[in-house]
Order: sequence, then C-alpha cells, then structure tokens
Amino acid sequence: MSTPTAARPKYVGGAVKRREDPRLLLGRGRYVADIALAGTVHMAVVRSPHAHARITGIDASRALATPGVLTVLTWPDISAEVGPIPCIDAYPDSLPALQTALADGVVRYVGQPVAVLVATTEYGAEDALALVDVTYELLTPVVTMDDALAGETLLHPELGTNVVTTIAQDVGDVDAAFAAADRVYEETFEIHRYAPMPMETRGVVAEVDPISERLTLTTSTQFPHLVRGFLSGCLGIPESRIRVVAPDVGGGFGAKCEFYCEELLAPLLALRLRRPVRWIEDRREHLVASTHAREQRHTVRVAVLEDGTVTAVDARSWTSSGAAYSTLTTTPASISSAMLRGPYRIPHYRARAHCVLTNKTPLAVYRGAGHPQAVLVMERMMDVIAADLGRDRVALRLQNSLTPAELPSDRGTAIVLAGPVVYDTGDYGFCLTRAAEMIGLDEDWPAQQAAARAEGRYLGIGLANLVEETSIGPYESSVVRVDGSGAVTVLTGSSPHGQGHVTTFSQLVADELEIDIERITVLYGDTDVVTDGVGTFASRSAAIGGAAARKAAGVVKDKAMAVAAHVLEIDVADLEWRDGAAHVRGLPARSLSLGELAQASTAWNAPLPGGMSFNLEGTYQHQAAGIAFSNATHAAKLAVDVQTGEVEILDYVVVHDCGTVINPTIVEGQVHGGVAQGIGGTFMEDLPYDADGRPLARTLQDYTTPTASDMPWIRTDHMESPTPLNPYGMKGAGEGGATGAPGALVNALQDALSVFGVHLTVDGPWTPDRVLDLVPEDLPWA
Amino acid sequence: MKPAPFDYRRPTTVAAALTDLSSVAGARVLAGGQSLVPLLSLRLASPPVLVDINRVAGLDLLTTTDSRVHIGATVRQATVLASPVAARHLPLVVAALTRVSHPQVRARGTVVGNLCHHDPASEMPAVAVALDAEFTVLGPDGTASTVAAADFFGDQFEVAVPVGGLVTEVSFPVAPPGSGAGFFEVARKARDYALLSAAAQLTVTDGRISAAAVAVTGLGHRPLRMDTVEDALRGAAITADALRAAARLATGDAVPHVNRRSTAAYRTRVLPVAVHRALRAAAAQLEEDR
Repeated sequence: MSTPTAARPKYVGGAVKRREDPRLLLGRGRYVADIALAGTVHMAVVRSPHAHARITGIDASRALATPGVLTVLTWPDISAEVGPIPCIDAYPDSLPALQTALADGVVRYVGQPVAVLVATTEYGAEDALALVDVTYELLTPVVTMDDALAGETLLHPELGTNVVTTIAQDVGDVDAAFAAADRVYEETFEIHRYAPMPMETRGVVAEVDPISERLTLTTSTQFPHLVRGFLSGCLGIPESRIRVVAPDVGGGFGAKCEFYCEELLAPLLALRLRRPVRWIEDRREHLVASTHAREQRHTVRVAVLEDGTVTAVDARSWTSSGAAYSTLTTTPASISSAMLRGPYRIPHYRARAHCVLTNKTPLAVYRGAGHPQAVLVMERMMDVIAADLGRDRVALRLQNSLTPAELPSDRGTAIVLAGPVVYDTGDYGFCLTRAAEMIGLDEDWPAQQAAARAEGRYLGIGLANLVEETSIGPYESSVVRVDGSGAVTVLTGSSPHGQGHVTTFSQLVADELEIDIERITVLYGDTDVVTDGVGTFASRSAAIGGAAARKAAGVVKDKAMAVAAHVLEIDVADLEWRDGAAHVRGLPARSLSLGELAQASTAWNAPLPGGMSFNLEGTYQHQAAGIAFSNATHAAKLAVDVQTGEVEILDYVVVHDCGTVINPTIVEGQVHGGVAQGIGGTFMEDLPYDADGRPLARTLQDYTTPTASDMPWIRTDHMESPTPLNPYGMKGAGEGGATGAPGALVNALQDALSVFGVHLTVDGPWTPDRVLDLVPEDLPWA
Repeated sequence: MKPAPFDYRRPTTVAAALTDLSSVAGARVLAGGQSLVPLLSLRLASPPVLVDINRVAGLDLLTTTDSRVHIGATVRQATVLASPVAARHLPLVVAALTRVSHPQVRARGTVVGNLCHHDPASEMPAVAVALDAEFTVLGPDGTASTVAAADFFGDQFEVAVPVGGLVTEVSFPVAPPGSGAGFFEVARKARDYALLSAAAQLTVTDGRISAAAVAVTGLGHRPLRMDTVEDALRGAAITADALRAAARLATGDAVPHVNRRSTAAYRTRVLPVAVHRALRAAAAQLEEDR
C-alpha cells in the first residue's frame, strides 16, 4: 500500500513569477552592445540619402587616408563573394526583387547601405562616414501606392511592373453571392506605415574564432538558427563552419525576424580583417534600416442579406512593400488575405493581395503581421453594416460568427509558410458576449452616451473580434538532460527576446518530471549549444517549443524509469513516477531520485543493459500538426476631448483564448504589450515620407511611442479552448494584443464621433490635430 | 550614439568658465545635458569645446531675496520641484515643471539650461515670459547684466547671451498673496514636448482680478504673452464667463511644424482652449487655497 500523499501542485496554469526578471531588472542583462572582445574594430555603414538614385561615383580616398580607418568596401569589392539577401516567403510566381548587401549601382530607399567601412574606434568610424564621397544622379521616387501602381517609374525596370507578388484566395462562388445579395457595401481603408521599434536596436559582433577558425556571429535576432543558414547561403560557407549567438535580445516584434545586410557585412569583414567586427545600430539608423510594417490599402465589397447574414466578401489589398524583398515580405499580405473574415462564417470569399514596390524601407512582419489590418477592415465593416441595417453591433457579429459546433472549419484559404487555414477550436461568441458585458456595451449604452454628450463628453465603445494564426511549424527541437545532482538542463531551439521562455519552459518540464522549478536551467540562443532550432515568431514558442521541451522531459522520465527498473531489478510496471523519483509500487520507501538515476546512468563500471546509452538525456522534435488559431475580443471605451482632439482611453477589455494557459501573468503581459503597440499605431506612431521619398521621422522625437503613462488599465479574461493539434492543448498568445487593438480603438473613435457624421476609413495615427479635424469648429465650449 | 570630436573643459569658477567659453568660437555650455547631449549624439550640434559648469562654485543655489526667487544655473528641475520655497512662492513654475519630461530627465536637467536651450515646444519659456523672469547674463569679460524674459528669447533655439557669455541664474517674482497658477498643454503623449502650452497666473484682490499673467509656447518660434487676454481679465470678477470671454481673445500666428508634430491650423484653433484651461486651472487653485 502506498502512502497517500497530497497531490503535487502543478506549475502549468500558475502565475509563476518570471525567473529571468531579477537579472534583467538589476541591469545584469548581456546584450550585443555589452560584448567587448579584445581587438574589436568598428563597422559603420554609408547609407543612401536619396529615395531613388543612380550611383555615379564612390570615392573613399579621403576616408582611407584617415588614421584608424582600416577599409572601405563598396558593391564591386564584394559582389563576387556574397549572394543577395534571401526572401523565404516568396510565392512561386513572385517576381525577383532581392536586395544586395550594398547597393548595386542604384539606391532605392533612404538608408540603404551604399558602402561599409571599418575603423579602430566607433567614433572614428562615424567620423569617416562623412569622408566617403558618393555622387548620385537622381531618379524619380515612387513614394505613394498610387505612384507605384501607375507604373510610370519602375524600381526594377527589368520586371516591367512594381507589383511583384499577387496572392489569390478563392472560396465558394463570390459572383453568385453578390448577385443574390440584398445589400452591397464597398469601402477602401488606408493603413499607415509604422514600425516595431524594439527598445534595443539591432547590433552584431562577428569574429573568426581563433581556436576552431569558425565564423561566429553574435546578433540581436529572433532566430539564430535561421541566420546561420542564411549566412551560410550568402557567403558560401558550410553551416558547420558558422556559429550564431543571440544573447539577451531587447525586443524584436518581427523587426529581428529578418536577416539584414549588416549581418552579412560584419562577418565578411571579420573574415577579411581577422579581427572582431562590431556594429551597433543607432536609433536614427533603425528608423530607416530596420524593417517597417503595416502599410496597406484594402478595398472590400461585402454582400449582405436583409436579415444581416454576410454572404460574401470580395477583397483587394495592396501592401507597400518598400524597395525590395525582405526575409519575410509577402507574409503580411498573405495573412491579411487569408484571415480577413476573422470569426465570421462568410461562405464566399475572394481576395487578391498585391505586394507593391515603393522607394521606402522594406516592409516586413510586425507583431500580428497582416492580422491587425485585416481585423480593422472586417470589424469596421461589421459596424458599417450594423449601422446601415439598424442592427445591434454585438447581435450582428454573433449572427455571423462560427459556433463551436461548426469547428473545425476549413476556411479554404492558406497562409504562406504556414499552410491551410483550418480553424481548430474556440468559442468566438462567448468571448464577444463576455467582452461586451465587461465594457458595458448593452441596451443602455446609447442613452448613457447621449447623456454624457449633453455634458460635453464624447464617449465611444469599439469592438474587435479576432482569430489569429499561431503556433506555426514546421517543428521545434529540445534536449533535456539531468546531472548527478538531479539538476535539469533544458535546451530549446526557440530563442526568446522577452517572452519569458525560461519561466514557461521550466514550468512545463517541472510538471512533467514533478520537480521544483528552481532545479531547471533553460539554455537557448547559441547554435553551438542548441544545434537545431527554428526561432521565436508567429506566436509559436510556448506551444511548439514548449511541447518539444515537455516531450523531451517525458523521454528522460521514461529512460529514468527503465534505469530504475534495472538498478532495482524489478519490472518497470512495478514502478511509478512521483515527486521527481521512481517509486516501487506498494513500497513507498523504496525509490530512486532523478539525481540517483542520473548517476546510475553514467556509472562506467555498471553499464546499462541492452545497449542503453549512457547519461540521462532525452531529445524530442515536436512537429506542428497544423496551425492553431487563437481568438479574442477587444473592447475599448474612450473619451474624445472635442476641444483639443485628445483621446483618453477610459477602459480596455480583452477576452481571449489561447488554449491551455501555461502562465497567466505572462499571457497578460503579452496582451498588455500588444495593446500598447496597437495604441501607439492608432494614436501616435507614424513613418511619413515627403514627396521626394525622404522619411520625416528621423528620431524618437518625431516618432512617438506610448509609455507606461499613456496606458489605460487593461482588464483581461481568459478562456481556454485546448487545441487537439498540440499534445498539451497550447496555442500562441504573443500577438493577439497588437492584432485586436487598432480595430477596437478605431471603432470606439467612430462611435464617439459618429454624431458628427464621421466615417472612419483610416487606421490612424489619430493625433490630436487629425481628431479635431473631425469635430465641427462651431461646437459650443464646455 | 557617437558625437563628433570635442574638447571637454570642467572649470570650477565662473571666471575660468568664461575663459573657456571665450577660448574657441562655438564653445557650448554643458549643464544638465538633457537637450545638448542628444543633439551631440545625433551630430545635430558639434561644438569644438564643451564647458561643463556642473562644478562651478555658487551656481547650484536656490535663494529668495527682494521678493524674487533666484535659481542658479546648475539647479536641477527636480530640486526646484522638491523645494518648499518654490512650492510656496512659485506655483506656476512648479505647475509647468511637472510637465517637463519624466523624473529621470528632471533629476539632471536644469531650469536655466532648459530655458537657454529655448526649444520652441518647451514649457518653461511661457512661464518665464508670463512672470517677467529675469536672467543674469555675464559677458565674456565678466560684466553682469539683467535681461528681462521679454528680451531674452529670440527665434527658436536663440537667446540673448553674447558669444562667450554665461547665464548664471534666472529669477522669478514671488507670487503675491491671493495668486493661483494654472498650466495646460496638449501633447502627443504623456510628458512629450508640447504641441501647445499655456501658462497663467491670476491674482485676486478684494474679489477682483488685480493681476493676470498669461503666455503660451508652441504657437510660433518664441513664447508669446497674451496681452489682450490679460487686459480683459484685469479688474474682472473671477467668473466662468469672464475666463471664457477673455480666453476667446487669445490670438497669434502659428508656424508650421516641419516634422508634422501638428498643423498650424490645429494650434491656432486650440490656442483659446489652452488659454482657457490654464485660466480655469489657476482659478481652481485659488478656490482650493481659499
């Protein structure tokens, strides 16, 4: 008879404090810029001041004559050695518009690398930039979407067009549905350009390791393993001769889910100079040299029956992709077109999504990728339709939402790199109903709104439903090993940049092995330590990487049981695993701990039987069985100061479902951070260009991001619909905050100002002056 | 961030500072560094010499004399905010300083340096002009002169300090009994540079406004005193209607923002509103103190 013991509390589902925070909060983080190798030299990049120009001459003689300047390279100096920057999400029929590490005769955006130099000090390198004389012949810049589509000036004349990719999604019989529609709505929405803007800019240190003579690149990236592959491909060096390290990474949000020119140039220079080469991007560079995001135009036609059933959507979109492909260039357009319908049934759907070249910084993914734009478009349309039909906004959405009974639902669309869109689980209607209830959107709301308006207070509530692609594959790897003290090391191929992997992965492994979380060390971010991995993007790490880690811990546990059976000379069936030890059933005193079993696994004089390997270690590669779709409803309540145009967010509610929650604190943190970025994009952040294609946001004085002082109190509610696609039911949670916020906020602004006949078709930024332009001048003063 | 090369001097006396400032054309004073250092890092400013006055004796004093409060050139904004003297005598300075950036910046930033930098979007020049602040300006030879705020601020980023000269202090008049102060700004985000700021101080004697001081920044390239508003308020009873009517008289020419922080039309439209809010805040403070 075994002694009944209290069930060991589970870590998964608990609000475990982030294990990485004390180190980071005490300033003990180690970022690229903190790395100081003896003999380091400093790289600086000469960048194009023009949006579109032909390079007529580069004279580096003044720079080279300056003491401390070691070398200056231009495209002809390196073109034989380096391939173009790869794009991994091109469609088979995408036209080629790849970027080279240094401009090949023509510059196509302000900030494009033209030449690179190395000096013995960082300041000397910066000084030398002004001594590289580049002459240009100006070409006509293609700045706006209309310029690009007119096609009078082509960025790549040999392609014959500025439209380099067109993505098609076709579901059902759209034309028949429109023919049968009672009402048809058509709108065009403009989504502006802004950027992820991580706190830490990019940076690299490249060196040739003096012992192995391998190339080592330390870079602020979201996916060191993919960088290793890209570098290998571009330089023609086998992956076995390359090590890539991602140290602490201070935010990425997609901007570091890219392989950049500087990540190729610094290694090339390290190989040539045989000295460590360092480059730390400054904020002014970041604003033009790191990928931008979001800018799209959507034109949608929606077919609706008199009873409110939305039967079809016919959508066209144009993404201002910038001057060339980035690593992930079609993904935003692909996601927007595949996911536009969100949670709504809409059986007939057609989309054509175009990626359009413009003389701007390349545009790529940013938290939510194409989802936020799609959500804004669809959710604005639901409000437009509800207003026109005189229907309640919540009721119209509920009527058109897929129910749990209709899931799984093959949506008939597909996302590049991820695969077919088949919604797995979720209760969209529940989240919507709950969010509406929490924010106070009920039958009394219009009366409350009118009463407030009579006092000069203009209040609005906005809703946005979202379903989002998360947990994409193809796989993630993990190794779990136990040492003789019983301490556990977890290696994961998913390299974090603020997500809290150390905490969540520890929770998963601790529960599997039934041990204390403090015994676990999580390692990542170094391709020599963790040889196989994919990375952190698309809300995939906790679900895919976490599943791999827990499965690897399961492998370790199975082996530990087998070793215990051998040592104790009993059948494994007579053992049970409990509290981090193998116990003999019925003899609770007889047990072997994880540490004892690890020691037994490494005993040279007592090898394990049957060819079992030495050491207590397990490896697992978890392959995603399909995309897991998380969902949420955002509800925002705001007040517009109709005298100043300032907007105050009074309340913000997110009811969301990311399947099994590992750590609610971390999930809430992800939601809060994402909402902050949505608030930034909706009310502040903007990357405008002038008519010559010059960016107007040159520093963070021009590019305004929200701070803690600008944040409302966000109330969250969790719902858990585990996905069968994951062994532990987990889905992704990293992007939903950013995905839902713009739609909810713009709908709230519309609700607050609709009394003035406002009809919002722009996502923002709704700065005070733009808001005030919506308000009549002759309004009486409060 | 990587400033261009510069020489760094750290004098300990005013005389030595003036010598250093005169040594090379284009030498700049470094006090709190909260505006200058970012400009250096961006290479938007590249002075050949930086004269760090933080160790110059006697510039870090906050004193009260002759019904004025004197703030030395190295007195931090945070020091003023924490000072009981300022809380009692300079309510408008305190109201505006709380809107100057974040505590981290105010811990280093100086009141005088912020005024001398004269960013047209800055809050404090409005206060200086409204209250008739006075600057003690030393010429390169050490001769001191007193410059009134109305004469101190030139075009944006320009102040009336001779080449090789140094501002050693700014002084503000003590608010008379029965005064209330109000400051209002519109900004793109909390603690950002203002799009438009309005500063107001009202003094009430025997139930009527005996003195009104109102000024704005953000409209043009220099702070602007709202004379017509002040005239309308002087002698009036302090009523909601009087404040509103006076605020509506606020006029001025807005200049466009190069970087599109906001449109000129916006600031022109919001000007009377901002003045009204500042006046209301001043009136509310009077009400509280009663």
